[in-house]
Amino acid sequence: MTVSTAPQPFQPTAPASWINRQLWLLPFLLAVFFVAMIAYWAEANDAQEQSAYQNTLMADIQSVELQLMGRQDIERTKLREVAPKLVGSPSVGDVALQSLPEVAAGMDRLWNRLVWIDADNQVIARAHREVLAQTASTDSLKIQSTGQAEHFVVPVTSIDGKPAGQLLARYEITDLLQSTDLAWLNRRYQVDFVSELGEVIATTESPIKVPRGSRYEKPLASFKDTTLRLTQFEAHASWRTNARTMALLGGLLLLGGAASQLLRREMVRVKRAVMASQTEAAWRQSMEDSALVGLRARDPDGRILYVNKTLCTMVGYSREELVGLIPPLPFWPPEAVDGMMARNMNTLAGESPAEGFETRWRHRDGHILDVMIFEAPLVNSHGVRIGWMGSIVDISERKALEEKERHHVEAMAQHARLNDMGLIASELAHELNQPLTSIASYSAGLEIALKKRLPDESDLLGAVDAVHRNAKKAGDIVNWIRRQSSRSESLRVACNLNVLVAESLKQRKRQIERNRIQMHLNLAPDLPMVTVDRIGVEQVIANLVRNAADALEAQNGVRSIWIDTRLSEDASTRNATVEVLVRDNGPGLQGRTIDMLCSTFYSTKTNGMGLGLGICRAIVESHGGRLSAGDAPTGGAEISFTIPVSQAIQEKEFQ
Amino acid sequence: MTEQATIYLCDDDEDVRGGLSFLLRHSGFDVRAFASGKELLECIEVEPKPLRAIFVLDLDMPPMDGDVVHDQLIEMGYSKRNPVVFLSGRGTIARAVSAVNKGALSFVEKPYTNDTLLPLLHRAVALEEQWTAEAKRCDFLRYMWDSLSAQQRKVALLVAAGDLNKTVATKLEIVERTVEMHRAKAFEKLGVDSPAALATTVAAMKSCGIEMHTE
Repeated sequence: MTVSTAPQPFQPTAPASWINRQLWLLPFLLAVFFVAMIAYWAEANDAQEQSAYQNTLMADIQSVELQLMGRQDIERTKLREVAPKLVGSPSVGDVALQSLPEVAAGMDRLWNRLVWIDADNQVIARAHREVLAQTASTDSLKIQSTGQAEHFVVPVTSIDGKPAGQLLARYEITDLLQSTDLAWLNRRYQVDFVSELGEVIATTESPIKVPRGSRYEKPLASFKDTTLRLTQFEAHASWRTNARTMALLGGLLLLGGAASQLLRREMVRVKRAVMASQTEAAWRQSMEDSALVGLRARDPDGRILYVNKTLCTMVGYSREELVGLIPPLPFWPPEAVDGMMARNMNTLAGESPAEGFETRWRHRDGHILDVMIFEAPLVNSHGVRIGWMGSIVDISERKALEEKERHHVEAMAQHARLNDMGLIASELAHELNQPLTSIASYSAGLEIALKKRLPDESDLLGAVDAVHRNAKKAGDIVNWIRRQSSRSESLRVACNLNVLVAESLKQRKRQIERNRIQMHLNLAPDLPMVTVDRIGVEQVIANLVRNAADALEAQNGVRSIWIDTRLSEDASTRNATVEVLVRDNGPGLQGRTIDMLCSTFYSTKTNGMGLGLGICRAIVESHGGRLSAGDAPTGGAEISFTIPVSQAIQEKEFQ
Repeated sequence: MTEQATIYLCDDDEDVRGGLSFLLRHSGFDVRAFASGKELLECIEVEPKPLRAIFVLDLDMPPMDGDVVHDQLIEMGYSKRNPVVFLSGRGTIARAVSAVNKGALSFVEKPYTNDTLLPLLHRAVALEEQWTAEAKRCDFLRYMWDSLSAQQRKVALLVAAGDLNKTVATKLEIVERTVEMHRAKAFEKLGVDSPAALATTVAAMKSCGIEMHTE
């Protein structure tokens, strides 16, 4: 099994490795082969042994035969020695025959009857002996049956050389056998002499020693009709019958089988592990490659060990080009290399900020990208730091969006500030209204009174008239400002307040996210269009959300802001209005009234460009709506404002 | 009419209130000034009726704005003979318009000049006199009508509608003689001497909103 680097997640390796897969059988096969070889060798050995044994047996039998024949030859010779003595002797008779020392010796030895017959088969003399003295050795043959006799025949020649009959010596085979020394044979075989009728003539059989081996029979040439039978005491031990050998071989096979089984189990386990790791590797690979985050691993010297596909795409270099590089890296902008080297040293020293840092890289094609880098130590299983793992996020798009957003917000702020100036002027005009009205009234009244009572005091009258005129002039200026601001108010467009809610939430998106505020929008779907100063109202909503978010800043636990829009009716005019409610779960107004809240008008918050609630109210009222504040029944503050649906149209009709 | 209506001025700004009352006093008006709608309403409640008043109300004076005071006045029945003029500041034009639609005479935008305010108030005074005279006449007519008995009213209405005595008798299922008697009495009480004059009087009563139905 080889671990391929190419991802092959779910495929076992090619069919060519069929042998590989059966490799686990090898120990068993080897064992079988070994056992077969041993069996073959043992068999051959056996056969050789058998034939050697056969040879020995043959030789042994031959020896027996020769031994027996030797005896016969000796006896025949002895008998031949008798014959000349007979011819030369003067008296031939039984006594004479019997008295011959050679005859007596022969009789003692073996012969039991000796007959001399002439050429006409007439008995000339005879001698005989009844019983032969027992001379058998202890382990010699036991005679089973007697009566089997043989003859030696020797021709008798007269002195002149004429044939003078024959000399016949008769003897018992058993006697011959008994007097033959076969002890050398007894050790290895049970020796049986068997007659032609199958009758055991003589045997070395003993109850102590039972022959187990094979038997071999051979008709004896020396004795007619007699067979020599040899039976081995020790059975020839074939290796097959050797229990120890068989046990050894069987054990070997079992061991081989067990080894194979183990190997097989191991192979399956390894295969599974390899498959799992292949799959995992493939998954990890595809995960790494499909990740939007660029990944790179570096050793403690900053040498790049690994990069994923995303990173390659990010910088425009291939994996092969990047792996092995040490800083300065090719995608660092040339003008910033020094700074980046310094930072790189910091990073490698482990001083990289955990929240990551922003930097700029240069793509191979030259375009600059903004990236966010998070460095984390790579730690091996012994807890030793072996390098750094960096995740790199391409934030160019986000940056561009932020830039765009910032421009938009700045433009908004600029617009809002201009609008604020208009509103402040308008507010000033309103505030000046009251004193001017008062001055004008007093001066007009004074003029009337003076004319009645002191009609001749032209000096005084002129002064009062001047005051009156100037008050009127100031009033005209105020009215002019008001007309100017109402002209700017007339730059109004029809729009849906739900859209403005969404727009203003975009403005406050960062604050909402940073403070982890849950927004709950309950926007009426069929809200009628209203004609409003779009930016002004958007700022009002954004400001209410901002105030709510500020109020939630110190709050632990869930922070929620609810924004509702709905169609309602103005309490006094009975006109249809669109109402926007902004509610939070903060500490609430704590007894402050809307007037107190709006009194911060002249001390607009210094941080940011949020409008004071006073300006919000001014904007809302310039649309003929109302801003009101109170505590929500669920706790927290609830600020709402209304915009009349047909307000603009009414105003136009009036004018 | 010898006596002129009093101007009931209501503005929560002391200086405006003072200046305006000063001007109006010297321009020949009777002025009573109030700092809030509540004060105004409490005062007119105890004043002798019918009230000879012109209301000049500032629109923007929380907690009780001018238009709310106006609604109260309408509810209390003053709107028929007492003109209402609003003083409007910034951002209250829509409400001023709405108030005019509900029967207010007009409104002036602050800072006003005596050139616009004084003529308006003179007009209001004249209007008030006219409305008061009409109201007085209506009061008189109501008084006369109330003096008729139920039977006399029925007869008077039928005669004013042009029915002859005979027809009236048939309709009311009474004898003609009795009709003649009721008719003479009604003529006498209403100060008319012909069916035509009676018809005119009845029409005037109707226009005053007097309840004419007899059953």
